[in-house]
Amino acid sequence: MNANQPHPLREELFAYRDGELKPDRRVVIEAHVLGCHACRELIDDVSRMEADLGAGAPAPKEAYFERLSEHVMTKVLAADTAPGHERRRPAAEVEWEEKQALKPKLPWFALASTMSAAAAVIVVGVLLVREGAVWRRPPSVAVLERSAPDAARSRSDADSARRRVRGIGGKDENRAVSPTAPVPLPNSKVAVGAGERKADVRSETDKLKKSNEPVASGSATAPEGGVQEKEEVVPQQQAGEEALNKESAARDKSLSSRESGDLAARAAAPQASPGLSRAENAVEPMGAALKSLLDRYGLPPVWGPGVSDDQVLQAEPALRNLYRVGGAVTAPDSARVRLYLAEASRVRAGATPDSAAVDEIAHHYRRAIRLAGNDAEIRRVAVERLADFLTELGDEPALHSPQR
Amino acid sequence: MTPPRPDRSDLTDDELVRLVCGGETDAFAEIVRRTRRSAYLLARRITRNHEDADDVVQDSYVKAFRALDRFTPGAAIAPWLLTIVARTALSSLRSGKRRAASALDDPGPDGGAPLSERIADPASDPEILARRLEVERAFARLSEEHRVILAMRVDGDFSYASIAEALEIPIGTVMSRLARAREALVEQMGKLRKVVPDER
Repeated sequence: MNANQPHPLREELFAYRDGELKPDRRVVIEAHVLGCHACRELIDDVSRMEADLGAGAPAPKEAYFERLSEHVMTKVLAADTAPGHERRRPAAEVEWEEKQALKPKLPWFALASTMSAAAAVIVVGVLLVREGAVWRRPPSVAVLERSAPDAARSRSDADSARRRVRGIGGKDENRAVSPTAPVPLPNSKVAVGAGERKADVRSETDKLKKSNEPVASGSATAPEGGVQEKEEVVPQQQAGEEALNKESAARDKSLSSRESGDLAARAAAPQASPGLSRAENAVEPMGAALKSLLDRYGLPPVWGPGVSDDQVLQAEPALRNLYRVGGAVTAPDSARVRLYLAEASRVRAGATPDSAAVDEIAHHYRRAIRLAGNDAEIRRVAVERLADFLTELGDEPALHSPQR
Repeated sequence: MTPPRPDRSDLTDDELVRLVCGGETDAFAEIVRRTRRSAYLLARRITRNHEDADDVVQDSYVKAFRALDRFTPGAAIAPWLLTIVARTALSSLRSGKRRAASALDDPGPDGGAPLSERIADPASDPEILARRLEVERAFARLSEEHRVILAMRVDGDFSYASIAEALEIPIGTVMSRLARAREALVEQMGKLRKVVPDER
């Protein structure tokens, strides 16, 4: 082939220019290009244009790329994923599923009949309320009793988060409590008044401070803050609340000890099984793996104000990994990790956490409190930090949308 | 007190991938550092605005992190990552949620100088600046299909095989589409020169 022969196809000409032709075709096209001024000029034009295009790319300054890296790493860490795995489900979801798996499963017809019965109860309840009947206990109490204090707390959080999303917080949202209305449930924002976000936060904070006291004295104490917040509630309601709070506290205590025992047993640590008694004030020593990890990052056994944000963020992936692979061998170790994870989430969320971040942070703190067991220091720090977090939320005027 | 982030700049791509897959998540930061500029430039060229490009790049890295165990050992990480960026950018284009393309006079990504100033090297010849602006304008007039394939070739330095894989088309189609895109670019340049001859 020479310059007098027909021009090659453009595809081949450009592929020759890009070095993408097979050797036999490359030789043929090259022979033509060497003798063909028009083809050489076309290749030169395209090369120049592409060079200009590449050189003219709108590259931002280096500072932008640094920020980009930070955002990417924050997203990667926040996504809580590991290579080769789909997004890890939130711990709360996993726990819920575990609990569900332990419950005896009812056949569908049993569920259907249960739901029918519940619907009938609700209908009857509505009819009685309309006729002015006085309720000693609301129908929903049974639901609360079954779902334990955690459910009440999570409802409380969810209500709080929802109100924050809507920006509701004014007194006009408070619902008047009539003498014939159902007895308000402890922690139930709907029953007490949907607009009292700050009061709710104070109430939970007070309860947390109470819960920081030794279990023996705390279990018999009614949540004082909750009662104080509801001074205007009728005495009948107060009596209902106190009774329910006592039940909740007792249940909380038994659930706490059971969960701690379960987790410790799962970790196969050389310690008493859940059914066996343990020394009341024995504090379990920290596991070697966690100790080594904390030492590596220069972190104390329990998070404290001396720990910097950077330290927490840098240690977070390793802590998560340790937790994931079961390196936190005792319940207090799990509490330590939870506490650090809560702090890391808090640092990432900044001053205006979105509802998901609020849930995540509060969940970590609550698990830390629960798992702390007899370790008074972990419990104290976790309670104080949760109280501090809730107080900050209470001061925050509105929820901001998640950051990109 | 704060432990310094380990310097991993001397590690190979393979070693970094192994570290990340082994749980050292912060090693991924080095992968990001190595590839972020080309990733951004490719995303920016395809999406034609900074905000979409920023979203695309961040999403691409999260996807890459999740799929890192599927990275072929021994290969370079950049082409693999840029394929993810190209696909994500295309999805962004097709989602219909994209923002308007930036004009040459829009402010830069960090609120700085507009593109027309940014692409100009202060030390360069004004004629070169004019030519760069001209080719940018010509590129902006191309169809989406042509812009994407040219961006992958020019900004991403993709091989034909990589383009074929990313766009899920045969190599023959890559060859013909790229040739048409280049012809279209030459044609647009010719039109611009006829319309505004004084700009050169």
